[in-house]
Amino acid sequence: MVELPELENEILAGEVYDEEDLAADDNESFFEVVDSGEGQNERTNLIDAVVGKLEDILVDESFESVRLRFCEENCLIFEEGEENKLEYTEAFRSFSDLVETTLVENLKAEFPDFTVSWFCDLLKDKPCDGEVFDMLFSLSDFEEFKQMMLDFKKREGGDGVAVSRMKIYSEEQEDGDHRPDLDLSSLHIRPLAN
Amino acid sequence: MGLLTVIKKVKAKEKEIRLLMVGLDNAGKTTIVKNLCGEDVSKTSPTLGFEIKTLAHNGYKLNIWDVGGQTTLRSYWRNYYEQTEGLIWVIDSTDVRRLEDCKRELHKLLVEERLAGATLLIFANKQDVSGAQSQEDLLKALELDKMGERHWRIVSCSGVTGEGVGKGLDWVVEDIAARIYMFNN
Ligand SMILES: Nc1nc2c(ncn2[C@@H]2O[C@H](COP(=O)(O)OP(=O)(O)O)[C@@H](O)[C@H]2O)c(=O)[nH]1
Ligand SMILES: [Mg+2]
Repeated sequence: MVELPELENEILAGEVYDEEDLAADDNESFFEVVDSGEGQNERTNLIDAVVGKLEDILVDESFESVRLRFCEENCLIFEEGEENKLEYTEAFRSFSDLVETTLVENLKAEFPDFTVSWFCDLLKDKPCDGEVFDMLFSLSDFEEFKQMMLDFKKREGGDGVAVSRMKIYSEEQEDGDHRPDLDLSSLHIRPLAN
Repeated sequence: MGLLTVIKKVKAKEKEIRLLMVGLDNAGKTTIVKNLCGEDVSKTSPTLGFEIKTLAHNGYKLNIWDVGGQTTLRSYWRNYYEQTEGLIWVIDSTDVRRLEDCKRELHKLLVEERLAGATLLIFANKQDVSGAQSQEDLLKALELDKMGERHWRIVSCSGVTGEGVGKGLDWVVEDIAARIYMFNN
Protein backbone atom coordinates (compact mmCIF):
# COMPACT_ATOMS: atom_id res chain seq x y z
CA MET A 1 0.00 0.00 0.00
CA VAL A 2 2.77 2.35 0.83
CA GLU A 3 4.99 1.08 -1.93
CA LEU A 4 2.59 1.76 -4.74
CA PRO A 5 2.75 5.55 -4.83
CA GLU A 6 6.50 5.34 -4.54
CA LEU A 7 6.67 3.17 -7.60
CA GLU A 8 4.36 5.54 -9.41
CA ASN A 9 6.59 8.40 -8.48
CA GLU A 10 9.61 6.58 -9.75
CA ILE A 11 8.02 5.87 -13.08
CA LEU A 12 6.82 9.43 -13.35
CA ALA A 13 10.22 10.77 -12.47
CA GLY A 14 11.81 8.47 -15.01
CA GLU A 15 9.49 9.62 -17.73
CA VAL A 16 10.05 13.26 -17.02
CA TYR A 17 13.78 12.75 -16.96
CA ASP A 18 13.75 10.89 -20.27
CA GLU A 19 11.77 13.60 -21.95
CA GLU A 20 14.15 16.24 -20.72
CA ASP A 21 17.09 14.18 -21.87
CA LEU A 22 15.62 13.71 -25.30
CA ALA A 23 14.85 17.40 -25.65
CA ALA A 24 18.39 18.28 -24.62
CA ASP A 25 19.79 15.87 -27.19
CA ASP A 26 17.64 17.38 -29.89
CA ASN A 27 18.81 20.86 -29.05
CA GLU A 28 22.41 19.83 -28.99
CA SER A 29 22.39 18.27 -32.42
CA PHE A 30 20.32 21.15 -33.74
CA PHE A 31 22.90 23.68 -32.58
CA GLU A 32 25.76 21.56 -33.82
CA VAL A 33 24.48 21.58 -37.35
CA VAL A 34 23.80 25.32 -37.34
CA ASP A 35 27.11 26.18 -35.73
CA SER A 36 29.36 24.16 -38.02
CA GLY A 37 28.58 26.26 -41.06
CA GLU A 38 31.12 24.67 -43.39
CA GLY A 39 28.89 21.68 -43.90
CA GLN A 40 31.35 19.17 -42.54
CA ASN A 41 29.11 18.10 -39.68
CA GLU A 42 26.09 18.19 -41.87
CA ARG A 43 27.83 15.75 -44.17
CA THR A 44 28.81 13.49 -41.29
CA ASN A 45 25.23 13.49 -40.05
CA LEU A 46 23.95 12.69 -43.49
CA ILE A 47 26.42 9.81 -43.87
CA ASP A 48 25.31 8.46 -40.49
CA ALA A 49 21.70 8.73 -41.59
CA VAL A 50 22.35 6.93 -44.89
CA VAL A 51 24.38 4.16 -43.25
CA GLY A 52 21.69 3.85 -40.59
CA LYS A 53 19.04 3.54 -43.24
CA LEU A 54 21.07 0.90 -45.10
CA GLU A 55 21.29 -1.07 -41.89
CA ASP A 56 17.55 -0.73 -41.32
CA ILE A 57 16.84 -2.03 -44.81
CA LEU A 58 19.19 -4.99 -44.43
CA VAL A 59 17.83 -6.15 -41.08
CA ASP A 60 14.23 -5.49 -42.04
CA GLU A 61 11.82 -8.37 -41.98
CA SER A 62 10.64 -7.77 -45.54
CA PHE A 63 14.14 -7.85 -47.00
CA GLU A 64 14.88 -11.04 -45.13
CA SER A 65 11.73 -12.71 -46.41
CA VAL A 66 12.50 -11.65 -49.99
CA ARG A 67 15.99 -13.11 -49.60
CA LEU A 68 14.69 -16.36 -48.18
CA ARG A 69 12.06 -16.71 -50.87
CA PHE A 70 14.75 -16.19 -53.49
CA CYS A 71 16.92 -18.88 -51.90
CA GLU A 72 13.99 -21.24 -51.78
CA GLU A 73 13.12 -20.73 -55.41
CA ASN A 74 16.66 -20.95 -56.76
CA CYS A 75 18.76 -23.17 -54.52
CA LEU A 76 17.93 -26.42 -56.32
CA ILE A 77 20.18 -25.72 -59.30
CA PHE A 78 23.21 -25.29 -57.02
CA GLU A 79 25.62 -28.14 -56.44
CA GLU A 80 28.90 -28.50 -54.62
CA GLY A 81 31.95 -28.38 -56.86
CA GLU A 82 34.41 -25.94 -58.31
CA GLU A 83 32.86 -25.69 -61.75
CA ASN A 84 29.81 -23.45 -61.88
CA LYS A 85 26.77 -24.05 -64.02
CA LEU A 86 25.87 -21.33 -66.47
CA GLU A 87 22.51 -20.90 -64.73
CA TYR A 88 24.28 -19.60 -61.62
CA THR A 89 25.14 -16.43 -63.50
CA GLU A 90 21.52 -15.71 -64.28
CA ALA A 91 20.51 -16.45 -60.70
CA PHE A 92 23.25 -14.18 -59.37
CA ARG A 93 22.15 -11.40 -61.67
CA SER A 94 18.53 -11.71 -60.52
CA PHE A 95 19.65 -11.69 -56.92
CA SER A 96 21.86 -8.64 -57.40
CA ASP A 97 18.99 -6.83 -59.14
CA LEU A 98 16.68 -7.71 -56.29
CA VAL A 99 19.08 -6.40 -53.66
CA GLU A 100 19.92 -3.33 -55.71
CA THR A 101 16.27 -2.44 -56.28
CA THR A 102 15.37 -2.92 -52.63
CA LEU A 103 18.23 -0.73 -51.47
CA VAL A 104 17.74 2.01 -54.02
CA GLU A 105 13.97 2.22 -53.61
CA ASN A 106 14.17 2.44 -49.84
CA LEU A 107 17.00 4.96 -49.90
CA LYS A 108 15.12 7.12 -52.40
CA ALA A 109 12.07 7.12 -50.17
CA GLU A 110 14.12 8.51 -47.30
CA PHE A 111 16.59 10.67 -49.25
CA PRO A 112 14.89 12.17 -52.32
CA ASP A 113 18.26 13.28 -53.75
CA PHE A 114 19.60 9.75 -53.73
CA THR A 115 21.39 8.51 -56.83
CA VAL A 116 24.45 6.27 -56.97
CA SER A 117 26.69 9.21 -57.80
CA TRP A 118 25.17 11.24 -54.94
CA PHE A 119 26.10 8.34 -52.68
CA CYS A 120 29.65 8.21 -54.08
CA ASP A 121 30.15 11.94 -53.62
CA LEU A 122 28.86 11.71 -50.08
CA LEU A 123 31.16 8.87 -49.11
CA LYS A 124 34.24 9.79 -51.08
CA ASP A 125 37.45 9.74 -49.01
CA LYS A 126 35.49 8.22 -46.10
CA PRO A 127 36.40 4.68 -45.10
CA CYS A 128 33.49 2.30 -45.64
CA ASP A 129 34.08 0.29 -42.48
CA GLY A 130 31.67 -1.54 -40.30
CA GLU A 131 29.14 -4.31 -40.39
CA VAL A 132 26.78 -2.64 -42.87
CA PHE A 133 29.45 -2.36 -45.54
CA ASP A 134 30.74 -5.86 -44.85
CA MET A 135 27.24 -7.16 -45.36
CA LEU A 136 26.74 -5.19 -48.57
CA PHE A 137 30.10 -6.42 -49.80
CA SER A 138 29.18 -10.05 -49.30
CA LEU A 139 25.85 -9.45 -51.02
CA SER A 140 27.75 -8.25 -54.09
CA ASP A 141 30.14 -11.19 -54.30
CA PHE A 142 29.48 -14.19 -56.53
CA GLU A 143 31.34 -16.75 -54.41
CA GLU A 144 29.49 -15.61 -51.28
CA PHE A 145 26.24 -15.86 -53.19
CA LYS A 146 27.02 -19.41 -54.29
CA GLN A 147 27.88 -20.37 -50.72
CA MET A 148 24.67 -18.82 -49.44
CA MET A 149 22.64 -20.89 -51.90
CA LEU A 150 24.51 -24.10 -51.06
CA ASP A 151 24.11 -23.51 -47.33
CA PHE A 152 20.42 -22.82 -47.75
CA LYS A 153 19.94 -25.95 -49.81
CA LYS A 154 21.79 -28.07 -47.27
CA ARG A 155 19.86 -26.61 -44.35
CA GLU A 156 16.39 -26.54 -45.84
CA GLY A 157 16.23 -29.30 -48.32
CA GLY A 158 18.91 -31.91 -47.88
CA ASP A 159 18.63 -33.44 -51.32
CA GLY A 160 16.24 -30.69 -52.29
CA VAL A 161 13.08 -32.82 -52.25
CA ALA A 162 11.58 -31.11 -49.21
CA VAL A 163 12.18 -27.67 -50.70
CA SER A 164 10.54 -28.44 -54.00
CA ARG A 165 7.54 -29.91 -52.20
CA MET A 166 7.33 -26.89 -50.00
CA LYS A 167 7.35 -24.64 -53.04
CA ILE A 168 4.58 -26.44 -54.87
CA TYR A 169 2.54 -26.45 -51.70
CA SER A 170 2.88 -22.73 -51.12
CA GLU A 171 2.10 -21.95 -54.74
CA GLU A 172 -1.04 -23.99 -54.48
CA GLN A 173 -1.98 -22.16 -51.33
CA GLU A 174 -1.38 -18.78 -52.88
CA ASP A 175 -3.30 -19.07 -56.11
CA GLY A 176 -5.78 -21.50 -54.69
CA ASP A 177 -5.92 -23.52 -57.91
CA HIS A 178 -5.41 -27.26 -58.07
CA ARG A 179 -2.28 -27.73 -60.10
CA PRO A 180 -1.61 -31.32 -59.05
CA ASP A 181 -5.08 -32.29 -60.28
CA LEU A 182 -4.49 -30.56 -63.60
CA ASP A 183 -1.14 -32.28 -64.00
CA LEU A 184 -2.72 -35.62 -63.26
CA SER A 185 -5.45 -35.13 -65.83
CA SER A 186 -2.97 -34.10 -68.51
CA LEU A 187 -0.93 -37.19 -67.66
CA HIS A 188 -4.06 -39.20 -68.03
CA ILE A 189 -4.92 -37.70 -71.42
CA ARG A 190 -1.49 -38.15 -72.97
CA PRO A 191 -1.49 -41.96 -73.16
CA LEU A 192 -4.97 -41.86 -74.66
CA ALA A 193 -3.92 -39.43 -77.38
CA ASN A 194 -0.94 -41.58 -78.28
CA MET B 1 27.14 1.59 -62.22
CA GLY B 2 24.99 0.12 -59.48
CA LEU B 3 25.20 0.73 -55.76
CA LEU B 4 26.49 -2.77 -55.02
CA THR B 5 29.20 -2.48 -57.65
CA VAL B 6 30.36 0.78 -56.14
CA ILE B 7 30.48 -0.70 -52.65
CA LYS B 8 32.31 -3.76 -53.91
CA LYS B 9 34.94 -1.57 -55.53
CA VAL B 10 35.44 0.61 -52.47
CA LYS B 11 35.51 -2.30 -50.04
CA ALA B 12 37.92 -4.53 -51.94
CA LYS B 13 40.90 -4.81 -49.62
CA GLU B 14 43.36 -5.72 -52.30
CA LYS B 15 43.73 -4.28 -55.75
CA GLU B 16 41.69 -6.61 -57.90
CA ILE B 17 41.94 -7.34 -61.58
CA ARG B 18 39.38 -9.33 -63.51
CA LEU B 19 40.58 -11.48 -66.39
CA LEU B 20 38.41 -13.45 -68.78
CA MET B 21 39.80 -16.54 -70.54
CA VAL B 22 38.15 -17.18 -73.88
CA GLY B 23 38.83 -19.04 -77.08
CA LEU B 24 37.55 -22.09 -78.91
CA ASP B 25 37.01 -25.30 -76.98
CA ASN B 26 40.14 -27.45 -76.62
CA ALA B 27 42.41 -24.40 -76.99
CA GLY B 28 43.93 -25.04 -73.57
CA LYS B 29 42.27 -22.33 -71.44
CA THR B 30 41.66 -24.52 -68.42
CA THR B 31 45.13 -26.05 -68.69
CA ILE B 32 46.73 -22.60 -68.68
CA VAL B 33 44.69 -21.50 -65.67
CA LYS B 34 45.64 -24.67 -63.82
CA ASN B 35 49.26 -24.10 -64.67
CA LEU B 36 49.06 -20.57 -63.29
CA CYS B 37 47.54 -21.90 -60.08
CA GLY B 38 50.20 -24.58 -59.73
CA GLU B 39 47.69 -27.38 -60.18
CA ASP B 40 48.06 -30.69 -62.00
CA VAL B 41 47.61 -30.06 -65.72
CA SER B 42 47.62 -33.69 -66.84
CA LYS B 43 43.85 -34.03 -66.75
CA THR B 44 41.28 -31.47 -67.75
CA SER B 45 37.75 -32.17 -68.84
CA PRO B 46 35.85 -29.85 -71.17
CA THR B 47 34.42 -26.87 -69.28
CA LEU B 48 30.64 -26.80 -69.59
CA GLY B 49 29.99 -23.94 -67.20
CA PHE B 50 32.61 -21.62 -65.78
CA GLU B 51 35.22 -21.53 -63.06
CA ILE B 52 36.63 -18.63 -61.12
CA LYS B 53 40.17 -18.89 -59.83
CA THR B 54 41.70 -16.36 -57.50
CA LEU B 55 45.41 -15.79 -57.70
CA ALA B 56 47.79 -13.42 -55.93
CA HIS B 57 50.19 -11.96 -58.46
CA ASN B 58 52.70 -9.11 -57.96
CA GLY B 59 50.56 -7.48 -55.29
CA TYR B 60 47.29 -7.84 -57.18
CA LYS B 61 44.42 -10.17 -56.63
CA LEU B 62 43.55 -11.73 -59.96
CA ASN B 63 40.09 -13.13 -60.52
CA ILE B 64 40.40 -15.39 -63.54
CA TRP B 65 37.14 -16.42 -65.18
CA ASP B 66 37.46 -19.56 -67.29
CA VAL B 67 34.43 -20.26 -69.46
CA GLY B 68 33.58 -23.07 -71.85
CA GLY B 69 34.34 -22.52 -75.54
CA GLN B 70 32.06 -24.99 -77.33
CA THR B 71 29.94 -23.52 -80.11
CA THR B 72 26.78 -23.77 -78.03
CA LEU B 73 28.41 -22.01 -75.08
CA ARG B 74 29.85 -19.03 -76.92
CA SER B 75 26.64 -17.05 -76.76
CA TYR B 76 27.00 -17.08 -72.97
CA TRP B 77 30.38 -15.34 -73.05
CA ARG B 78 28.68 -11.97 -73.09
CA ASN B 79 27.42 -12.55 -69.55
CA TYR B 80 31.00 -12.25 -68.36
CA TYR B 81 32.12 -9.07 -70.15
CA GLU B 82 31.00 -6.65 -67.47
CA GLN B 83 33.96 -5.31 -65.50
CA THR B 84 36.44 -7.44 -67.40
CA GLU B 85 39.74 -5.58 -67.50
CA GLY B 86 41.78 -8.14 -69.38
CA LEU B 87 40.84 -10.56 -72.11
CA ILE B 88 43.01 -13.63 -72.59
CA TRP B 89 42.34 -15.23 -75.95
CA VAL B 90 43.79 -18.72 -76.17
CA ILE B 91 44.57 -20.39 -79.50
CA ASP B 92 45.40 -24.02 -80.13
CA SER B 93 48.33 -23.34 -82.46
CA THR B 94 48.11 -26.86 -83.86
CA ASP B 95 44.49 -26.54 -84.94
CA VAL B 96 44.93 -25.05 -88.40
CA ARG B 97 41.57 -26.38 -89.50
CA ARG B 98 39.65 -24.14 -87.10
CA LEU B 99 41.79 -21.03 -87.49
CA GLU B 100 39.08 -19.36 -89.54
CA ASP B 101 36.51 -20.09 -86.83
CA CYS B 102 38.96 -18.76 -84.25
CA LYS B 103 39.48 -15.55 -86.20
CA ARG B 104 35.76 -14.95 -86.60
CA GLU B 105 35.04 -15.42 -82.89
CA LEU B 106 37.91 -13.16 -81.86
CA HIS B 107 36.76 -10.40 -84.19
CA LYS B 108 33.29 -10.65 -82.68
CA LEU B 109 34.74 -9.98 -79.26
CA LEU B 110 36.78 -7.05 -80.45
CA VAL B 111 33.71 -5.08 -81.50
CA GLU B 112 31.97 -5.62 -78.14
CA GLU B 113 31.46 -2.25 -76.54
CA ARG B 114 31.79 -3.57 -73.00
CA LEU B 115 35.21 -4.96 -73.86
CA ALA B 116 36.42 -1.88 -75.67
CA GLY B 117 38.75 -0.84 -72.84
CA ALA B 118 40.03 -4.31 -72.03
CA THR B 119 43.66 -5.22 -72.58
CA LEU B 120 44.00 -8.21 -74.92
CA LEU B 121 46.56 -10.96 -74.47
CA ILE B 122 46.63 -13.65 -77.13
CA PHE B 123 48.22 -16.92 -76.09
CA ALA B 124 49.58 -18.96 -79.01
CA ASN B 125 49.25 -22.16 -77.00
CA LYS B 126 50.56 -25.70 -77.46
CA GLN B 127 53.94 -24.56 -78.71
CA ASP B 128 55.42 -27.73 -77.25
CA VAL B 129 53.81 -29.70 -80.08
CA SER B 130 55.95 -29.97 -83.19
CA GLY B 131 54.30 -28.40 -86.19
CA ALA B 132 52.53 -25.77 -84.11
CA GLN B 133 51.96 -22.54 -86.01
CA SER B 134 54.33 -19.74 -85.06
CA GLN B 135 52.86 -16.58 -83.55
CA GLU B 136 53.76 -14.70 -86.73
CA ASP B 137 51.76 -17.14 -88.86
CA LEU B 138 48.84 -16.94 -86.44
CA LEU B 139 48.87 -13.16 -86.50
CA LYS B 140 48.72 -13.15 -90.26
CA ALA B 141 45.78 -15.55 -90.23
CA LEU B 142 43.90 -13.59 -87.57
CA GLU B 143 44.13 -10.34 -89.56
CA LEU B 144 44.51 -8.12 -86.54
CA ASP B 145 45.32 -4.95 -88.39
CA LYS B 146 42.57 -2.67 -87.12
CA MET B 147 43.21 -2.68 -83.40
CA GLY B 148 42.93 1.08 -82.85
CA GLU B 149 43.67 2.17 -79.31
CA ARG B 150 43.57 -1.26 -77.77
CA HIS B 151 46.54 -2.52 -75.78
CA TRP B 152 47.29 -5.97 -77.05
CA ARG B 153 50.04 -8.51 -77.47
CA ILE B 154 50.59 -12.10 -78.59
CA VAL B 155 52.74 -14.49 -76.54
CA SER B 156 53.75 -18.05 -77.45
CA CYS B 157 53.20 -20.53 -74.68
CA SER B 158 52.50 -24.05 -73.56
CA GLY B 159 49.94 -24.72 -70.88
CA VAL B 160 51.48 -28.13 -70.35
CA THR B 161 55.13 -27.14 -69.84
CA GLY B 162 54.27 -23.67 -68.52
CA GLU B 163 56.66 -21.99 -70.93
CA GLY B 164 55.57 -18.43 -71.73
CA VAL B 165 52.52 -18.54 -69.49
CA GLY B 166 54.01 -16.42 -66.72
CA LYS B 167 55.44 -13.97 -69.21
CA GLY B 168 52.04 -13.41 -70.77
CA LEU B 169 50.35 -12.97 -67.42
CA ASP B 170 53.00 -10.51 -66.23
CA TRP B 171 52.43 -8.38 -69.28
CA VAL B 172 48.65 -8.30 -69.10
CA VAL B 173 48.63 -7.53 -65.36
CA GLU B 174 51.24 -4.80 -65.72
CA ASP B 175 49.35 -3.20 -68.58
CA ILE B 176 46.04 -3.20 -66.71
CA ALA B 177 47.59 -2.04 -63.46
CA ALA B 178 49.25 0.92 -65.16
CA ARG B 179 45.92 1.83 -66.69
CA ILE B 180 43.57 1.50 -63.72
CA TYR B 181 45.74 1.84 -60.63
CA MET B 182 48.31 4.45 -61.57
CA PHE B 183 46.31 7.50 -60.53
CA ASN B 184 44.16 6.32 -57.65
CA ASN B 185 47.28 5.07 -55.81
N1 LIG C 1 50.49 -30.59 -75.95
C1 LIG C 1 49.74 -29.69 -75.34
N2 LIG C 1 48.47 -29.98 -75.01
C2 LIG C 1 47.74 -29.03 -74.39
C3 LIG C 1 48.26 -27.77 -74.07
N3 LIG C 1 47.31 -27.05 -73.45
C4 LIG C 1 46.22 -27.87 -73.38
N4 LIG C 1 46.48 -29.05 -73.94
C5 LIG C 1 45.54 -30.17 -74.09
O1 LIG C 1 44.44 -29.76 -74.86
C6 LIG C 1 43.23 -30.33 -74.39
C7 LIG C 1 42.22 -29.26 -74.04
O2 LIG C 1 42.68 -28.49 -72.95
P1 LIG C 1 41.71 -27.64 -72.05
O3 LIG C 1 42.58 -26.87 -71.12
O4 LIG C 1 40.64 -28.46 -71.44
O5 LIG C 1 41.06 -26.68 -73.14
P2 LIG C 1 39.88 -25.62 -73.01
O6 LIG C 1 38.69 -26.24 -73.63
O7 LIG C 1 40.32 -24.42 -73.77
O8 LIG C 1 39.70 -25.32 -71.55
C8 LIG C 1 43.62 -31.19 -73.19
O9 LIG C 1 43.76 -32.50 -73.61
C9 LIG C 1 44.96 -30.60 -72.76
O10 LIG C 1 45.76 -31.54 -72.13
C10 LIG C 1 49.62 -27.48 -74.45
O11 LIG C 1 50.17 -26.41 -74.21
N5 LIG C 1 50.31 -28.48 -75.08
MG1 LIG D 1 38.03 -25.44 -70.33
